[in-house]
Amino acid sequence: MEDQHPAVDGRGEAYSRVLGTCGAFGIGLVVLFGLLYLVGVNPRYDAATVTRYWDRPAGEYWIQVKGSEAVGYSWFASDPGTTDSLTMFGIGFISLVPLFGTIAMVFRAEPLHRFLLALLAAEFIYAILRPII
Amino acid sequence: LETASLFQWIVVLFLFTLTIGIIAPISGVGGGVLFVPIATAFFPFSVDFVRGTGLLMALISSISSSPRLIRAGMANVRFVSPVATVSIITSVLGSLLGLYITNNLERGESYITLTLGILLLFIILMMILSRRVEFPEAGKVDPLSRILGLRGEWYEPSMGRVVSYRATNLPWGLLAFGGVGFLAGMFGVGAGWASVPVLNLVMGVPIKAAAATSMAIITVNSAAATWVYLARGALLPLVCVPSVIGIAVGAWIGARIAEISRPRAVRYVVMVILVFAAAVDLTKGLQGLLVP
Repeated sequence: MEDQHPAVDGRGEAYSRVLGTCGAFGIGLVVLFGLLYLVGVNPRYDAATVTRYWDRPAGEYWIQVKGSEAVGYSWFASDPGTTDSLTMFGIGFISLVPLFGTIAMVFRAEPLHRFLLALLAAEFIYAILRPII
Repeated sequence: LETASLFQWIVVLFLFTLTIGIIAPISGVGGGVLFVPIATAFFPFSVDFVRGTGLLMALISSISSSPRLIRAGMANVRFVSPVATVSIITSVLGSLLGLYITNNLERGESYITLTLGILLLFIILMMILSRRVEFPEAGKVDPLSRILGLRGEWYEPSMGRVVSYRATNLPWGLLAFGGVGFLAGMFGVGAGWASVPVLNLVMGVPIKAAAATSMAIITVNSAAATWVYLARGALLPLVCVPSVIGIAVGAWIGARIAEISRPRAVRYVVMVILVFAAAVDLTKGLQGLLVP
């Protein structure tokens, strides 16, 4: 019966390969650095500080913790050596994976879908860059 | 709960999300729909961090399940380009508005908690009333769906043959997905509860393909919305990490249990829990708005 399976088109294969490979890598990053953070290895903000203010909205939380609101990505990117920042880099990487998948599909789709996928990728990139431009 | 030690917090969050991960595939209710309203109702951290974590959970579960579904032919990536082009905009707008309300309006958290309770009641109603059509008749295919070639096929082992379908009503589908993306971004919930009925009942996609294809669409929406939450610092490793590990392990266990048995009773128990969580969210929201 195996030969009855319809073939998956090129863009589907590309999307699933990117999601599978990059997704597993990103999840691995989050779990690795996240567990190091949870056991207290080199945190930027210790857990006691986090739990003291985590009932406040995000803006107020960051004012209490670091003196100003978090706008953009410098709140974790400016100190990449700590395990909480590295965990956020992992989360950022996971959140990029569908963009990588979309770009991979652009080159394998027919013209109209190619245009829509390129537009989708552009929208995605704008959503990421919007806070810093 | 508020006086619990840090270690207890991590364990409580892990066990909570582990349980959600196990019962989600058995009950057919999405993990995000369970996590966000229940965590908002019963956990002390801000609804901002709950929503950010909810989106991350939706993203990771869709990234994990999509490759297998695409290779099986059930998740159709042809739908991603037209649908996500619209829903990515609304999911980002929903996220921005949701964070604006909690961070800029007085008692903004109470508005979000109250509307989350209302949304949850609506979701429960949809779960009860919504029909699931195994193989809907597409009828007349609209020009846009025809131009974009929105059709698909997969080998269905239970029938021993290839099932083919074609979608229709794309303009209505895009309108509905615009709304779905907005709600998903604003409340941080995965949107399977809405996107599956839209694909199935509005666009005429068979239920199995609709459920699988919605996962491929959710990857894009939830990822873009997660960036909005990330840019406002609305994700905390202390909340995210135990939750993500808990739901991943739970989903692994739950999927295996669901293959053997999916007792209806579990779905009813989940419904009752969701009604209770909705009641608590409504009460918390109203108290926040009415009590001086």
